[in-house]
Amino acid sequence: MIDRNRKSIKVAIAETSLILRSGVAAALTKVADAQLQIMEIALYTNFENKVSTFAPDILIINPFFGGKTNIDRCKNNKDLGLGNTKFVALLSGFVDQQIIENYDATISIYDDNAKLSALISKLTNSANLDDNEEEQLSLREREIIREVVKGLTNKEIAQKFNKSIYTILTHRRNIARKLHIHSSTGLAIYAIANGLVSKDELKLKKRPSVDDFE
Amino acid sequence: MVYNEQCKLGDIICEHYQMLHLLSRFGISLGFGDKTVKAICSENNVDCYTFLATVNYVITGESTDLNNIDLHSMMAFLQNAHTYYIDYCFPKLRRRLINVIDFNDDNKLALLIISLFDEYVKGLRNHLSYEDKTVFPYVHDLLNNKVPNTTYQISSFSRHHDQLDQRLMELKNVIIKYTPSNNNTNEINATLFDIFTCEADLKSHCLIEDNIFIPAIRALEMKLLQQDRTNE
Repeated sequence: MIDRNRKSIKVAIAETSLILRSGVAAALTKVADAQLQIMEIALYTNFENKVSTFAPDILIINPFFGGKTNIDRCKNNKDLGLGNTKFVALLSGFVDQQIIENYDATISIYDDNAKLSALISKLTNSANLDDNEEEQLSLREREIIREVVKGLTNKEIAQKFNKSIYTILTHRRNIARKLHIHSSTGLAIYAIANGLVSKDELKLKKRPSVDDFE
Repeated sequence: MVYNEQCKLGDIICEHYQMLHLLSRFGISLGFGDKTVKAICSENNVDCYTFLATVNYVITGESTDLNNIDLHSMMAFLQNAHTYYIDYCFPKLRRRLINVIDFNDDNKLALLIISLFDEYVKGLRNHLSYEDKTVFPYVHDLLNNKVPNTTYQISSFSRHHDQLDQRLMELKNVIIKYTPSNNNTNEINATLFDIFTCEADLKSHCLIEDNIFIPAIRALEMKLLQQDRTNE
């Protein structure tokens, strides 16, 4: 099961061959569809501008795209802002080690599903794409949700539980991460739907009007 | 398939119905019969190259040479999209959602869902207003040959999109998981489908901004900076 709530991973594919390029894009889509935002680059014109603007997490590139020397320059050029981009060489056959030694990883066109998935996970430091363990909320986290939804500020919650505000903030970050809910309105909906509070305990910020937006 | 100016616009729409949005945002109305893209663009005063670049990008994901993008056309296009979202799309969604959701003072869950919806639209409005008040005037200045001040980074603008994406995803999840079911299943499903369609449209809109509009602006910025250097 794919986690559709995770922030999407941006992958750029630079390869002049339509068949190879589309093939890589299709294979990646099969592996991790909802999480990827893929940009295909067929030509070298404006390559640096496109890549720099897109700012991919991963750049899969034919080592001979635009000539080898241009790629090295691209990697080392601070103005392009690709410091966090992982460079992956796309290999369709045997290539001299020297040519690919500066890449972060390689993909062969013979790699399978599992290899591709593992590679993406490794490069983005994310949990394996197939992991879908819904982390359970702890008792304390449930209590905090109740207080937030009743209208207490973080400071007031810290005082109520006799903890530092930093502890409360950490709990709130964990809650947001586990539930994929970042707004307090969203938390209120979760709380009511899961019986954490009764509707009378809930503090509604402002009643929405039945007519169109104010 | 990559379309060129000799293709019939009607065929393009039949094969890719999402192009209907692009049409109206470029100011082209239906009723054009069998005419080619070139003829229709010319009749409607739309820059043909920009129109095709956008259509082909949305369909294939491949962007093209950005030096020939007409930024005036792009801005008019984006502005029409903004009007669509704020004046038509989201108000309509809101009305439909209220209809299916049993909206009354006792139903706190329903009130909260609408509140979340309103909060999202407020965030969207702020973003669009930022574009209107900051980005577009900046681009107009560039088009009037004003040399860019190197402290304003056009690329920082695309980071707003990540935040909006996240909030829309939260809204969508909440609606799917917590909208109470009643006898109105068809209507609820239709409303949810509308939300999904709107989400896809917004995503496409952001991609157009990130991969055509912004790179075209950067290309212009670089050109102006270079001209400025050679003039010194």
